[in-house]
Amino acid sequence: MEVKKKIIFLMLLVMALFICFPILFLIAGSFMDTKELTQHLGAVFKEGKGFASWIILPKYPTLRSYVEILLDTPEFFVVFWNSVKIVLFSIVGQLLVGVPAAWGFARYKFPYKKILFMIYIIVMLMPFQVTMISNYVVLDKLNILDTHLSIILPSIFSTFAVFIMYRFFKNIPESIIESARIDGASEKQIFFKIGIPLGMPGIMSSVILSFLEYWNLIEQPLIFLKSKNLWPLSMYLPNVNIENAGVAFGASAITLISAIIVFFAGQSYLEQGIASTAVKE
Amino acid sequence: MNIKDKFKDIKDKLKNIKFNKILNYEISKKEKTSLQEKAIKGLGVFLFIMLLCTMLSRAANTLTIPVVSVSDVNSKAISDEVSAQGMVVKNREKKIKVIEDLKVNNVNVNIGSNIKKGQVLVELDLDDIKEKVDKLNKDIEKEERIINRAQEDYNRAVEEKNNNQEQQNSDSKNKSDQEKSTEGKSTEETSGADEQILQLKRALEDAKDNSKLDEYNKKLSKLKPYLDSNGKVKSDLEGIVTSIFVENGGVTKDALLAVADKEKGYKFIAQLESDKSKSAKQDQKVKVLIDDKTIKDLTIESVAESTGAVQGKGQTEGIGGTGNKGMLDVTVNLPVNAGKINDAGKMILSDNSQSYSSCVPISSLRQEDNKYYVLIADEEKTVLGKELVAKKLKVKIIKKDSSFAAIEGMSSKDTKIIIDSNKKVEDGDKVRVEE
Repeated sequence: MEVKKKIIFLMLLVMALFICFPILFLIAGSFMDTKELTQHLGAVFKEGKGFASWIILPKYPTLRSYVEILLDTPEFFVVFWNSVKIVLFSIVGQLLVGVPAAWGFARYKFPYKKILFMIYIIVMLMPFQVTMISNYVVLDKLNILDTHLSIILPSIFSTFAVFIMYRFFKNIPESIIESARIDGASEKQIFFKIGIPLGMPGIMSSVILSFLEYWNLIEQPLIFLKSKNLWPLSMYLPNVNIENAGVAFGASAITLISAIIVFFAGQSYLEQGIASTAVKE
Repeated sequence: MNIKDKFKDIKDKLKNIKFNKILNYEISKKEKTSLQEKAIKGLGVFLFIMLLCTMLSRAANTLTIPVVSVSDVNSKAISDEVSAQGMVVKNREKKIKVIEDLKVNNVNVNIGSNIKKGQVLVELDLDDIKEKVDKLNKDIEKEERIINRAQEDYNRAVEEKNNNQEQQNSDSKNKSDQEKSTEGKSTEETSGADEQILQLKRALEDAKDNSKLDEYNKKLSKLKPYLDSNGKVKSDLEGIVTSIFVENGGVTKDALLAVADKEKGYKFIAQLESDKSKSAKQDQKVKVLIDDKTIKDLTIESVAESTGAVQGKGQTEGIGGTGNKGMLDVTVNLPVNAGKINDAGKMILSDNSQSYSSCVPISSLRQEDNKYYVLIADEEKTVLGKELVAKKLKVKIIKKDSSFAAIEGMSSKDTKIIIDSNKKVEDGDKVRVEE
């Protein structure tokens, strides 16, 4: 049994390393200088002639890329704070709009609820490319193209967040709600004092997944934002060449840090959320 | 059943299911707090560091951006000056002559020396002069002696003949037949004397003809001034020495030195490109600048193909050389006391001004591969917002003077041209405009 456990552990370790390899690749690259990057990745930029190679531990590690990004590149911070702004307002908006929407879908019965929810799911399943043109037209009519509102406003009314939170609100036993109603609690009190606390794992899961989605957003900014000073982090360094490859790796590593921190902050909620889906009443 | 009892029953049921774990905040709260709190704190620290780095990077960026001065493209009048560089050269040259074969002790001047009247130019060997004078005197004496002797001989012969003639005449009155027969004999003697007189006369004439007395007297008269001046040759004019024909310890030739006569004024010869020949015509009025002084209303004396007398840039001077190809020598006579020989100057042949719509300061022009360009401060939308970026703009110069240049290739009059900066600026660099 122990041997079996060890074998399973090793297999999982190998798979984990395999999955983590891009991260290790990224971190190693962020500590390499231009010469070492040219040595390994030169073939990539030479019209496909030759082969690229890589090493996990740089031979000549340097903090040059980080120094260049953090101290010599004010453009990086412009895009960073743009991303922070977009994510913050999107998530806050989603919480304000999506949580009551999900609660409504989960706990109440009203006419055309199923049809409406079906539409929500269909819209959620549609890729961005399908809704891109209609979105563009609407945003143009609202005169908010080339502003951050063109990203934030559609995100606030995202159906994905509603869908995740709906599932969690749905799992709250009706008996608790009924008990509260019997005890004289108003719908507002039920929502704030029972619904939100019990649905917190779902809410936090939605927050974290939304954060990861909007932190890495690229399609919407590419289409709806023309001014470079409004671009988010995902659009920094759209053209990578051998001269700025080190900076690109460094910028990616710094971008990753914030995503990792947020993930760890909400990891427990995610786990609880996943666990709760296994529970059947 | 009471409602309260129902509620209790439900509660008991809930305790038995796994869902209870989620409601049991006490256990899970601690785990969440330790990792969650750390993560939230970490996020706060991360954002603070990013804020700090934002300000540091902006400050560093400000230090590296050059501050530039800009100017608009304006219409200006540019003087269409046709000018040519040249040099002051000698006009009339005078040679200071001297007797040949005199020994030279010292030459007190050099080529280019400014000499004045009465200045000692060369010191001759006094002893040599004295020697020559003595020799000449002796030669003169000798010649005089020869002539005198010949003259004396002739005079004596003539006198003798005359005496004999008189005696013959007085004797002829008291002559007998016998004596008349001796007259024939004395006639023969008279014709012999005449012959002698004739020969003596011829000898005298020959002596006079062959006499070098005049020559010696001439030489002596030429040498005497040098003797009187103790061998010092002084200048009798004012000017600049252009050539020296003697050297210390050498002997004189027919001339000691050549001097450009200052009192007659000098010439200015400028070299003009052949393609600008229309700007230079004989008798045309021009200006000449020498040593920051402008001499106006000078008339062109001649325009000819360059002989190489005046050195052009990078050309070497040669006597009878081929000259500077494609160049013309434009000559004007300078007034007296204007400039010194070999002074460089500029001849201004025409000075018309014309208005041009696109003019930029000369300081804004840059050159690369023999082509001109300017740097303009162009607004560009970057990640940091609207920034000014230096952009290269190739231009063609139509005309230029010392301050401005009329150019072609300017798309808009609102363009800001970079004329100066506190750091090196190149194409693509971000810049800030000095206010």
